Amino acid sequence: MEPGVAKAGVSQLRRGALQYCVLALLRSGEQYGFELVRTLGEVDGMVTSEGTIYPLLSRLRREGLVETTWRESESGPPRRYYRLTNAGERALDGFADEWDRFRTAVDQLLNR
Amino acid sequence: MDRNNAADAGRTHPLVDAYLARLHDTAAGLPAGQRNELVEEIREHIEAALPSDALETEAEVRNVLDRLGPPEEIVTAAAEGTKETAPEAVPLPSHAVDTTGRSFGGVEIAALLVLGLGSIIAWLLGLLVGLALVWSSTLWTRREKLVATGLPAALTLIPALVFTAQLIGWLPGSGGAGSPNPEFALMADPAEMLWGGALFFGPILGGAAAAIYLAVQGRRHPRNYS
Repeated sequence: MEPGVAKAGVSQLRRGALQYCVLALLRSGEQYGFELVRTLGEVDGMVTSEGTIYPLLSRLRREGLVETTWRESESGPPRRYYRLTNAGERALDGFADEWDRFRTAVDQLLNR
Repeated sequence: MDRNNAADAGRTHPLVDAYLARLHDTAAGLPAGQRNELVEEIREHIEAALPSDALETEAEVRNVLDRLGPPEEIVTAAAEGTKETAPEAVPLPSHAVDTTGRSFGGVEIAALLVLGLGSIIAWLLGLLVGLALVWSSTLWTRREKLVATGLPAALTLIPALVFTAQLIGWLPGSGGAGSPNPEFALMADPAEMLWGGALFFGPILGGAAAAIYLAVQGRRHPRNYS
């Protein structure tokens, strides 16, 4: 297997996990788009292109996992705030369980 | 939202304009609403990222645009989101968009009935069975379950504490010395009757309140999105 294939594999994983990372950031309360994107962008190895988080947020909204409210802001135009829905919280809980199991299994097999 | 490039005097940097124009063009394949929303969001992101007095340096602008990533990548991500079966997109597990188990099922109805009425028939036992059913359900969130548990718990424990305190004399009641009607000392003192009654009805009222709360919350859950 070429090293590039491994990278592609992890990048698939990252895509799958990213939406749950977004949901997890919202657990502690609502945030507006820019905050979310910046926080994610600062975690090393998570996001290569911040702009792709916005379509992801739209998708999460369409799927009912997050909902948004517009709020006035002193420093400019109204901002769109995102927060978890009950379905989003459930999805996140489900993923967290699956992830724990998966990560433990992989770590074990990789002997790390 | 009413946004206009020219409305923010001096905030339009040519690099930003070029970027947004490219984004807009690349997104031609997206539905119009989605396309406009995407461009707007990216535009707002850029505005939020740059210093608010229109004198951002070119380096700062390039930095922000680099972090955003190429418009092509952003549009690809948007397109993947709208495709039902994109080969690269990782689907969410079925329970995330499950519309079947998210309405009232047998467990939920049983939980509400036992919670609301069980305490009338079997007092604390009914309440406890009802709460057990609530916790076993997947319809309500953890927080909702905690509220539903806390309501009857409070309505039961507070009278229990007060009533017990009265009986052992810590609070005024016939358990203490100074009862105004010694011949009725063996009968319930009005204060005791009050709290004894509250203790009796606590689980009943608490269970009913919790059941109503859960019924309302359960109906508010999102059921179907496309």
